[in-house]
Amino acid sequence: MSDAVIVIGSGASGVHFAQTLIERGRRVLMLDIGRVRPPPVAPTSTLDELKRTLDDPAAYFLGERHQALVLPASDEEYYGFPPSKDYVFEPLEGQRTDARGFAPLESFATGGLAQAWTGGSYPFHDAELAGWPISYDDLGPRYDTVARRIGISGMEDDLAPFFPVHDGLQPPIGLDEHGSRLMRAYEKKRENLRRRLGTRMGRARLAALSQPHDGRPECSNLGRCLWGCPTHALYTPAVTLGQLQTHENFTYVRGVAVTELALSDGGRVTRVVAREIDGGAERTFEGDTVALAAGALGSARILLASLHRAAGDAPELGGLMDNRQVLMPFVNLGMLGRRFEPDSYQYHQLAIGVEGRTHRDYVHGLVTTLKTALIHPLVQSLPTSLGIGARAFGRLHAALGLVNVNFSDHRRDGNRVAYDAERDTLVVSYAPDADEPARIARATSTLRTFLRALGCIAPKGMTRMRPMGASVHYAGCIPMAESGGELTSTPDGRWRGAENLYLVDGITFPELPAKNLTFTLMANATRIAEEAF
Amino acid sequence: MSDSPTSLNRECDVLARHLVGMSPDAAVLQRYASFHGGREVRGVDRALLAAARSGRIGTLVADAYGRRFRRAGELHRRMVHLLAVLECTPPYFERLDHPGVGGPVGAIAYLCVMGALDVFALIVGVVAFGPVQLIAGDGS
Repeated sequence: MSDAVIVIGSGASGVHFAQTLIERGRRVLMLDIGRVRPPPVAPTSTLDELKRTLDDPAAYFLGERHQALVLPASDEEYYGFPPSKDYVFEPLEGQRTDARGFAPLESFATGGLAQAWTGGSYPFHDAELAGWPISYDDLGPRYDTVARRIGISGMEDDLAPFFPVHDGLQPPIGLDEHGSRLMRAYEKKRENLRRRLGTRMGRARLAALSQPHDGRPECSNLGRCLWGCPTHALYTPAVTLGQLQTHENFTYVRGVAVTELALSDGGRVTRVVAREIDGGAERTFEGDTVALAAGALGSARILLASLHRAAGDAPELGGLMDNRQVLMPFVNLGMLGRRFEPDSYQYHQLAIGVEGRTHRDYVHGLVTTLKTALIHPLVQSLPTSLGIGARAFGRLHAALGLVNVNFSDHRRDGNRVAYDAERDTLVVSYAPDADEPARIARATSTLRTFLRALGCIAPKGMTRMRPMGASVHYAGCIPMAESGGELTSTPDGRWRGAENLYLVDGITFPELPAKNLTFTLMANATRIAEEAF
Repeated sequence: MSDSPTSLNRECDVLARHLVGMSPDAAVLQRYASFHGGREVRGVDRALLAAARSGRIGTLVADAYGRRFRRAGELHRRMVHLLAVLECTPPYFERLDHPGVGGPVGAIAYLCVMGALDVFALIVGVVAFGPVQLIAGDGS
């Protein structure tokens, strides 16, 4: 038996858990399916240069199979993921999921789902951690650690009451003209907006560099964020994995899918069983300690399959959570007829916080000004003919923006993950809270009023609710708690069903605030590694 | 309706000029033909495509009608695909991304003119294609 800690999965949780162990002198064996990101095309070219110089730019931007083409009345969202990120969501043969009321996305990529994230790094505060067995005092130092590792840009501003300020904060990335105008309009009315609407706006916190950091360059404004940052100025877990792979105490086994944790009667994981992706041969790995970091759904799948094989049956896991997201496009009248800035940071640069009566009612908005995203999904949603819309769009382009509104979620027993052994299928069922429509109506009405005060129009008919599962902020199922049964974990992440199995991803989150959870996944995995080892 | 290579090329040319004011190059024509060739088109969609192929005014009217009453129809489908190709391809993307801009006042004036043109084209389209769609049932 190896003295290495076996870590399953290379996503945001897995790599920061592993890095913390390595820093503490432990040996790590990471098992991963590990689909690899293709090398970025022409990594120093701007987006427009790519369009001018690629042999077949339409194939790059739309995909060889036109997979990024959004055809009329297809009921698709405004945007899917671009072809350059296909590797993140490429399915795994034999890995089946049935879902009701939920559109699950799973990743088998090196770096996991956060290879396709938009970098929003928003710490949870004490009120949001009230249902957790830990507090900000436990997570705060780990936010500092992660921020120092990966580099986060942002500043202390009006949003500080919603997002605690941590170490390792770089200055914000330069704001584009549209964003600057929104901020100036907000600053003129901020007291009124705070008082009347309980709404604040400020700079986004982003895992994107405004200054060089740890061998990575600052954002060079290539305008290619949506297609995957070619310079790694935008952090992804693959960056940390690359650093770990240079360390002598770290071993990375790629191309294996873990199928089972063999459980002994004495409550221990005795070995990890995996199958090779190429060829299907079975491999086993033995280690003193195992950490599951395959994502909330991936970890649930492995754990339930293991329980079924050990006992002939597996329980259903309740409490699956995800952030509902609503997209609110808007037009900033002051930006009509101006040029947009293709050579700039493309993801959200501003954030909005809407206070609620309790932390569960808090609503978090990410404000993205439209720049280099494909325009055909938007042109066809204009209330004009397509030809008129295409010509008019040039005058509208710089004025368009989008608020991605995030809502909190909490554990409800009816939202379940089960394992169907006969079909070797994960079965997911989800139903939103009964008061969700009212919460969404209230929040979108407030944000529409807020945007109007900034000189923007957010047409009601263009607001769209994303399907549950689309935000990919999956959590819950085996919550950490001070006490509980087999379907809970200890506050330091140990599963109560086995003394040597740690759950280090979002599966242990007892509650899900209205914020991107990735920064907290990294901080919590760091905390577990520090407390348990 | 037959989609011969010649008719698809003609159609792509007319639609590209409608969308970006430029004729498509060989690569765009080839991509368009390979994506849309071999599809059977009937009913009002066939009438809309025939009108669009006839020239600039026919395209304007067919587009205005198709956008409102045959949104998922073949004409609109082909136009969206072509727009997607053009927005990725030089030199067409520059027409879409970097048109002459004139500030908020110029933009509003331009949008008003375009809006009026669209309404006019729609009225003509309803007169021309409404009866065809009624006769064809759902038009598919």
